[in-house]
Amino acid sequence: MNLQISRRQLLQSLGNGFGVLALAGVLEDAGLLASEVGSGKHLVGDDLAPRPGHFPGKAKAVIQLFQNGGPSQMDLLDNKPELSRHNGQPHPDPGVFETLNQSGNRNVLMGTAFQFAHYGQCGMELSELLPHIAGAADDLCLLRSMHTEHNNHPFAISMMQTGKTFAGRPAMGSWICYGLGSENWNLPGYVVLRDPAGYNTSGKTVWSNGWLPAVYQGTEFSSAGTPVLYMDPARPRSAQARARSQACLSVLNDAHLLGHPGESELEARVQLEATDALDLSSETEATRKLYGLDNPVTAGYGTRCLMARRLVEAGVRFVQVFPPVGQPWDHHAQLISALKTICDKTDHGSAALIRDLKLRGLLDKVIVMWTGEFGRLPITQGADGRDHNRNAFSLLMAGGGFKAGHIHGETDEFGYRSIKDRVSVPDLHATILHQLGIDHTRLSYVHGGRPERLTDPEVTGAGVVEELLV
Amino acid sequence: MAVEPERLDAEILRDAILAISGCIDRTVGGSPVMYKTEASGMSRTDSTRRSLYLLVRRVYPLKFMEIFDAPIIAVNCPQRTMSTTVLQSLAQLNSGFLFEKAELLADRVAGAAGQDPAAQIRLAFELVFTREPRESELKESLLFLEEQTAIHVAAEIAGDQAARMALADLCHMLMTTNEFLYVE
Repeated sequence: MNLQISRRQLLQSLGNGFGVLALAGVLEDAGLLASEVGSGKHLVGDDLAPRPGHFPGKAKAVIQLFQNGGPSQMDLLDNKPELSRHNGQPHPDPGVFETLNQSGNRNVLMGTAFQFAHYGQCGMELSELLPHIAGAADDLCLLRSMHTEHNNHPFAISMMQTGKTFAGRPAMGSWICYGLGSENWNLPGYVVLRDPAGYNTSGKTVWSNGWLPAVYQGTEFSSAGTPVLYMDPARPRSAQARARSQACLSVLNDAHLLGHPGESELEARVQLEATDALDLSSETEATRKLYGLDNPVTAGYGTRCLMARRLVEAGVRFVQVFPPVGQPWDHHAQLISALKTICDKTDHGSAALIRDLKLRGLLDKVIVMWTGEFGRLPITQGADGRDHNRNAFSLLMAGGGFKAGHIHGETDEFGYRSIKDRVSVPDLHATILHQLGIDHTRLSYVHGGRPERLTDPEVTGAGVVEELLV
Repeated sequence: MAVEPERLDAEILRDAILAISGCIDRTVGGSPVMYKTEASGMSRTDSTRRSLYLLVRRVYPLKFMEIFDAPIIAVNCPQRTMSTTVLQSLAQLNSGFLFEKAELLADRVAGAAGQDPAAQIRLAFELVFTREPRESELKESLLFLEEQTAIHVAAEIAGDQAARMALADLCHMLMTTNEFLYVE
């Protein structure tokens, strides 16, 4: 007789009462709950109860600042003097460019139009386009040797978020909540903050739970108007009428065999918590200014960055912040002016978040990640643009035990391909999970008969990049 | 042996609400039901066709279905997951879909059962749960209708309208109960 039971079965048999979670923990410690995928069971339950990782992690939360569209690394984070020196000249070996014959690409090298300088005590070389981020140079871990698998947006975005180029798998944020649960019962474990004007490329698939239970899907909180979908009743009802309805519901549920104690209170608490977590009015004038809320150019994205800090403070595990609607970093034409525009909108908030987390002593525990889905080409597209490039891109990490004031990896002389200490997207995922106390080879979920993992290590060869870590 | 309760699948839940409120469109075949996603993130449709005919968009799924674990179509789904989330409770309590269908159900109940509150409650329970209310449930429901009507009147809503709203609120809560949402 098999006495092993899953956390889910246990909770259901006891009516999903939250009170039994402690019991579940005791049973799990005693080895009575199935907790490893080798048993054919899921690693953990279908709930957001906080649970320890495989080992003590340095970080407890992640804020991903997703700069979708493909930020141009040679104009922002990866200065290439040789490229500038060969400005206007052909690449000696045009065969290296796998997309040279597409989309108006021309074999004409294009150096950056922007000035680079060395910032901070570490002397990190960064572009004048990112003056605020440059001010946080000593807290940054700059990866210049990233590479990915696909040259187009939806596939590369899927790769960055889910570890594979095809749609349908759970996002990293969903995996992390599945592994660790959330530290606040009254808020979702995975919150998405996007431009209230609309969606970015690939829409809601970016924070999909894939085949993981919906409890791990990213929940959109609006940074304007009502913060949570369905938070306000669609028909006008007085507070008293709502309370009376919910009291009636509670009585009806109690009368029923499957009563879920406390569910309507939970809903009420979520409303309070969400409202409180996103209420920026309690922030000081100095903080509001730090995030650029006093400037219409920086206020939108800055608001989302500030909300992200409040949410991780409240115990949310994974927060995903989006830049303005669409794909604002996709500069096929008029690169110089368009790059300046998006940097003006986002540089301020991104840097403020890192600085603010540090001031509050939270940066040690929170991983901040600034990344796009791929990089751009060193050659010209049309008159004044750059096309997509999967072979090299740069990204920034901060906090959570990542080295500070550190640069990892190199690209070739023109910035086309990562050549030294290359890091794949699954490597990056493995490293982030590691900092959270999760062994990426062990966090798995059985789907279609296969124990699936975020990094799929046997296929991708993913490994933790120790050189990035303190 | 205890039987595990199972939550209604997203499509069945939506169809059941449409059917109980009396507005379901059982037409077989035809074009799929289109819908748009607003900037707020909300996607909804006024169509009362069965969920089978809802267009499934990979990038913008219908919100109500998405939060009740409707599978995404990008990969095969050998077995559905079932989770309990905050947005599910919020959608049940606050969505326009539930409010509208609760009003339809209230009108249906009042139309068929007449003005006697006890008769209204009995019919509502039969439609939602396919059973009679227990004595305690009938008592609580009668008390609710009386008190909720008074609350609406106190909020300066006219008497007739207040009674209709209270009945709609009761129908709404019946369709939000765990008994309705879960099958054994």
